[in-house]
Amino acid sequence: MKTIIRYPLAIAVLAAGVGFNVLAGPPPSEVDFGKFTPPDDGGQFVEIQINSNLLSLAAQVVEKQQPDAARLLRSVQLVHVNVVGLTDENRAEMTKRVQRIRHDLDAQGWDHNVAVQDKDGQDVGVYTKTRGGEALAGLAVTVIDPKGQVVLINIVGDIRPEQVAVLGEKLNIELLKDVGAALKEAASKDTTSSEATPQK
Amino acid sequence: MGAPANEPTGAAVLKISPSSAMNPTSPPPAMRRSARRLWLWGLLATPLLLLLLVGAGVASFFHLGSDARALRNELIKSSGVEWRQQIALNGNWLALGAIRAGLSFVNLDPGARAAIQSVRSAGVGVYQLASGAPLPHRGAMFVTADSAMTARGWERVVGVLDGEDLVAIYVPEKNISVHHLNVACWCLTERNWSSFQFKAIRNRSSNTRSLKLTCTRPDSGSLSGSPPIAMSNDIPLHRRQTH
Repeated sequence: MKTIIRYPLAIAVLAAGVGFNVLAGPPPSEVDFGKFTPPDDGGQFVEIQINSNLLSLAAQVVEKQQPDAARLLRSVQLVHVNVVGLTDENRAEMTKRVQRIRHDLDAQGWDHNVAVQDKDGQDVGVYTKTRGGEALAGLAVTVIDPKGQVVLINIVGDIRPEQVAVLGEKLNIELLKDVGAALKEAASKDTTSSEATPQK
Repeated sequence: MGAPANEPTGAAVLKISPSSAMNPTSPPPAMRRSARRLWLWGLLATPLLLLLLVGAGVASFFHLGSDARALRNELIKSSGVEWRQQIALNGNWLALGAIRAGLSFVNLDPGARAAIQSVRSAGVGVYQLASGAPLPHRGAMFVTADSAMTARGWERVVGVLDGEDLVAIYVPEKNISVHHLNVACWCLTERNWSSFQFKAIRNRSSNTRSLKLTCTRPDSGSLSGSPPIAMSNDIPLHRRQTH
């Protein structure tokens, strides 16, 4: 009698687990930037989407020679990069779209770590999402360069902004290297200024 | 009644009929004839079969794989312009094995040798826009290629559109392994587009851990001209600045 109850119960629990897994969908730190259509007028368009399958493949390859790099690659589940060149036709729409993404990130409880607006009009926003206080669940970077392009980066996983350059180097994505270097610089400036500011 | 003088007394005597030992019962002449005919047919059919196999192998060398064919058909349809096929080659394990064996006697760059040894099958198609045809809508071709490949279980990892150049790289959605890498790519430059697909295995014997996929402009003259994209095992994705 017990067996008769136990098996259907186990199956129900398993089915519920599978069901919840399906319902769970993408991780909360995955940002939906929306669909970008490549322009036809020669404008720049780059889309890179590396999911956990490829990242784990890359980790396997470097595991023996570079265990730290392999650990970093394993801690990341998704790298998504979008670069859309700005033209007279799409400038207003793209700027509005990035503003909306930033608004959504704020609304979803992402921490707005870096906000830089220089006199050339370049506008950089760095957002992080934490998991359980300590570990990072994801990172999002938005860049609007009014003269050139819009850059959107989303990295899902436990990665600090300072590690983005290393990840870019390991995946050999120039753009990630550049953004990572800028983030590292911003972080070091931040540390220096906070050290220089006398404690009240 | 005594025993004959030449037989030893008390010894067992085995009498074997000489005719049964030397001449086994032979099959009837009709059976012998049909067996001979079978042998004859076999002898005639073997070279024919070998010829057919070789013919099929050679024909398959000029016949793209199903994924590459589907991509080609969809791209040609969506572009709405006329394309002329320049090359369509499909090297399976047999052809590549022969190439590998042939190249083992040639002094090659270690990286190139490792790449050749890793590749187990490869297909390439090169198409040129018919003279006078207008430039196709690149954005539409990009979207079409995506939907054709997604429907066949591939996902795009890289898509780059820069000026007149377009590159898209796909990997299978499932079953990606460091030991069996399957990559498909198509590049569109000014008036040409090319598609590549290869299956590779990790080459443990080699020091080189990279497998590079390089697309070049046809007018650059050499493979080391200006590669916009390279993909390697240890460095999976790389976009070089071309401008």
